[in-house]
Amino acid sequence: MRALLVDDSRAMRMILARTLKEIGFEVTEASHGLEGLERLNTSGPFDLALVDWNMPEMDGLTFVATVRRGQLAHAMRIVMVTTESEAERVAAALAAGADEYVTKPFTKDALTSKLEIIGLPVEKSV
Amino acid sequence: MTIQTLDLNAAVCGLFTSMLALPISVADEFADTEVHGASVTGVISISGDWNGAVVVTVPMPLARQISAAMFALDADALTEAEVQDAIGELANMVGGATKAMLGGSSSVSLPSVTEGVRYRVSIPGAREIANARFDCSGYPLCVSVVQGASKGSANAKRPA
Repeated sequence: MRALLVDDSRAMRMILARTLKEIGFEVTEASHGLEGLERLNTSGPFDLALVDWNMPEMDGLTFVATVRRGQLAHAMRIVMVTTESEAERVAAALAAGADEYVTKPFTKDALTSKLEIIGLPVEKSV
Repeated sequence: MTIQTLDLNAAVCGLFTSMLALPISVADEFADTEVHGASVTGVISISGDWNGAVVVTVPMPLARQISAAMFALDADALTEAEVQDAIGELANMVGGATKAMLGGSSSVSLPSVTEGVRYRVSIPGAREIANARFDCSGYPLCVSVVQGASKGSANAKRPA
């Protein structure tokens, strides 16, 4: 399984990459939405994208809407991983095409259970 | 719209427990929680129905411990940019939790990070409405929530 991480914080990408690798994903990183679109074009397809909301250049909501409008990655599951926790933000992300929503801070269990909910196979660590 | 110190305490302790696995506790009210020596400050501005900022300050040794936990690297191996990135993300998560406590519709800025010795973070026209102080690995960690004097005074709104 292949995952694309789109987050402007390198520290957060490290945390997410660690978690995803532990559960069996190969990870590609991008530091904002535009770079995420570029990675989709050059390194896709991906099974999953974890996307932050607030980023420079292109924010996560625009990234999600752009991906869903295009023909690039219809099958890719998208999970927003963000500090934005208000119901209206969650609704906007889902309306734009995100499949799930995880609020930072999160635990590994919270993230993996969301991935299972959207039908992605998760390797259980021993 | 108010911030309860208890909620702030729970948010920060929860963050450290769930994501960083670093020991943290609310500081004793008589403890010396001033940050001495070199320190790092992360600031997140909030604008919209509520305007203000969340300011997180830690001494440099703790900043390096937090960064080491995020990057899974030895504290001595971290670059200055990695420490700034990690403290920015810490401020981002505390800011996001604070915004959720405030309710209403607001946006958060990207984080800004300052480091140095004997500096003061000042947001003109803003006043502190809540603060929380913690002991993390034997070092102080300070969170301050300041409210702007009027809408838009404490920060520039970030595009959605």
